[in-house]
Amino acid sequence: MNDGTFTLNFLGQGTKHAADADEYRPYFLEYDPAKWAGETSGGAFKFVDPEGASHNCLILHSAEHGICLFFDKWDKKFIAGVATLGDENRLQETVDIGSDEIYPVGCFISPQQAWPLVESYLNTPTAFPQSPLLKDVNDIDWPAE
Amino acid sequence: MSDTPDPPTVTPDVRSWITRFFDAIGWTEQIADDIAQGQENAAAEAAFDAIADIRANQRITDSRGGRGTVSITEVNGQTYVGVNSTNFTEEDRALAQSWENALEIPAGPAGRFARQVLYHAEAHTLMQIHRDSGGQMPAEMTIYVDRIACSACQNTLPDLVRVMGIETLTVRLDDGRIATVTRDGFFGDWQ
Repeated sequence: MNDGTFTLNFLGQGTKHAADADEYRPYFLEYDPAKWAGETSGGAFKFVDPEGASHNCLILHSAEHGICLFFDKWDKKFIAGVATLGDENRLQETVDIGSDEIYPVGCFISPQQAWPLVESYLNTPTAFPQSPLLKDVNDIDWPAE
Repeated sequence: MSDTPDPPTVTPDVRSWITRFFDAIGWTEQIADDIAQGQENAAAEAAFDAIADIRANQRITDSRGGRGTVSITEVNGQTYVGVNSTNFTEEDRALAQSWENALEIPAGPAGRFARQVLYHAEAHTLMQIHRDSGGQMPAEMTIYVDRIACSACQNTLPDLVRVMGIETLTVRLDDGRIATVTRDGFFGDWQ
């Protein structure tokens, strides 16, 4: 059990504070793009630990490409971050999943692959999930602007 | 010396009478709240009418050629309009880049996720107000936006309001829903 506070925003639903994995699991394991076709392109989960540092999980959905996850830690400034890497060969392609929400196609993985990472975060938000699907954000080769 | 007489002393009995009077005419906190709500609704209606006018005169788009986002508010008698980055001027881009430093977003790939917020309509509005006010941001303020904040904005707007010194940012949507952003998080309490 983690001391701290969750703030969970998902698909334009009202903000929740209980990290209930059952609430979110079906969106990934029983994936139906229609259920993700809400007003936002995914979710923003934040956990603030007792020292005030925030541990975030950004969930980005593309009906065409799947799910991109970005986990980061901030303590007034950026500390570290990891993101999913699905296809290294498609990092130079981008997709706009909303209104100028532009991300590399190569960072998207399947919803089924994404769920264990989200579940890990909900259970242990202060540690990045351990997975070969995650890569240090410094090593993700975004297209030049 | 002034000829103005001293105000009457309000004794406990008089205070009780005043309370009973306002109770009798039905003046309650609920009525005060209703008046405030009416004023907020009128402000929101005017704001979204202004957004409609902007859209009628300018195509606000996104990277795909779709419908972009518009945010509007008024501070110190001046109207501020925010849009997403496809509609930015070079000056807007420079402003956003300056805030990457202020937020201590790392340069290079590590900052590419976190910096998205600075290129969206909500932050665009706030950055302009901050620039023009010399950093004297209202402690409490409302912006009107015709699209719910994206996940990246929900993630990072709390950091932006913290650094700007805003205690409570209210984000009001055109359907009346309201989200509250504080340094502690983004709260869409509309269930």
